[in-house]
Amino acid sequence: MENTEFAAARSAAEATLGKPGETSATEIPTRLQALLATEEARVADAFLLAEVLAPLIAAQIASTPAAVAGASLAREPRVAPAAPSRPPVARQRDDPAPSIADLIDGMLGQERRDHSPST
Amino acid sequence: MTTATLDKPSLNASPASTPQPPSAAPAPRQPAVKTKIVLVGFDFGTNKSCLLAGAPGSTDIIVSKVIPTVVGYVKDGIVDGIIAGNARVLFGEDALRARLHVKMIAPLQEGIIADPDVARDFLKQIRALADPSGTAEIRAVIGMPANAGETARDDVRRCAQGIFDRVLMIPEPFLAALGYREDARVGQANYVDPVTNSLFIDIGGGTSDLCLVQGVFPSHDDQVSIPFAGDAIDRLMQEELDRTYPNNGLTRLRVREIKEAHAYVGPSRKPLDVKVILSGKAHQLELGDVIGRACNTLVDKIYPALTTLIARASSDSVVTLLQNIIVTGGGSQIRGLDTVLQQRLIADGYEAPKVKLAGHDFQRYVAMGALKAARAARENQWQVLLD
Repeated sequence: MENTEFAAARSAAEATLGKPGETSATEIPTRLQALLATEEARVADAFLLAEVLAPLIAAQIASTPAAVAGASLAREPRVAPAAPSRPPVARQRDDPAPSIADLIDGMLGQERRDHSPST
Repeated sequence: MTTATLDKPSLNASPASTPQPPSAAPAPRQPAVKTKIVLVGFDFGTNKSCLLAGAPGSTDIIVSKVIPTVVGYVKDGIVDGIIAGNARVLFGEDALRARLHVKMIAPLQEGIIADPDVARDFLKQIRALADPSGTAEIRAVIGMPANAGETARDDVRRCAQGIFDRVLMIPEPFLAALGYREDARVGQANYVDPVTNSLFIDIGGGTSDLCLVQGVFPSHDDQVSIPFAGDAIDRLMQEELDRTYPNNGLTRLRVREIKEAHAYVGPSRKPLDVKVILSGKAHQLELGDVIGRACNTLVDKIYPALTTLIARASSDSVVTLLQNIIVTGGGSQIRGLDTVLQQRLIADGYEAPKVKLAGHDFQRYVAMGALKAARAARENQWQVLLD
């Protein structure tokens, strides 16, 4: 595509060079570069999002009976799962001054255990 | 477009700097660029809510408000100018002041969302208070009743969608412990950190929540939520008033005001004469027994849960724990509650128990703990709400 459609579009744009009111020759490469950079960033973001979401969606589909999948998705609020956090820190009950973030980790770990399928 | 992309600086590049094709179709919608983050600690209470807000990386609190959890929808046909700004929806104190002209709806019952649409309206107002510009990314830690079920949590998430950007839901009594903790004194020899070893009793409008806090996040077994609290006391009082003084005309709101002024537990404080206006005339009603019986029911409800949680503490920690039983929430304003609970523990043979009242900030500790949690939460701990 880069060698066919895009190259043709680029040639057509360059052919407008010199016409009154059109973009100057020096601006075209700059603008093309900016456009390409924007699109590259967009594609990279899409890949990143897909990499994060695809396994999670696949896992959810696999664990959801087909008959209730539609109802379940309609009912539940749309929430992006938090990125896997580090495992909760094991603390002794006499360990002083726990960090709040570690306590939150403990809570999230508990929630994950609650939601994991019972064995 | 998902809010998950907010983390990626490349998408936050200024659209103005991005060249556009001269005659392109309308550009795809760019995500709203949120230029700042506001952290919110929110105690979503059945009767009263508390909002604290601040910026990340600071200990300053930029918004601090206690708001009655009620939304008033202005009735049809109200003459222009009666309601300030001819508003159609009022919140909190404004709704209560205009009670004649609005239909008042409480979004919560017994600590959980009872009317999602009303809850959303209330949360929108909370957001507007926390971020009047409407442009900030809002990260809110929201207090939930102890052991709130997944349905209750989903309801909060659903209502917060599109209003808050990221949320964390944490049990209220645990947040109260965080809020009550004097951070500057942690580590001092004479300071018992409540997060390390305490038992919190948070008595709100809809639920009384008890929580054993011992340096780890409390498990389900460390928490008890009882659907008996301020509202249930109001109900008991009103039922008895209706029996004793038929056609008394007292509204639930007025009964609550009477309770807040005179609530007590322990032996009867009869005579306790309360002035009420009935049909335009002043009357003195003797309410000592009515108030005492209703409030003592609360003690009967929470005491078994208190002893159950004490029994869960290890023999190494229980002596210190017994010195650190803290009552907070609106229920901590019931006269004698600390004394009565302590006396019952002593009578049952517990070793030198000490029950304390949280003190003058009782309405704010949950939100204070929530804001501390918001400030300490790691990026990957937030739950991102998608539009």
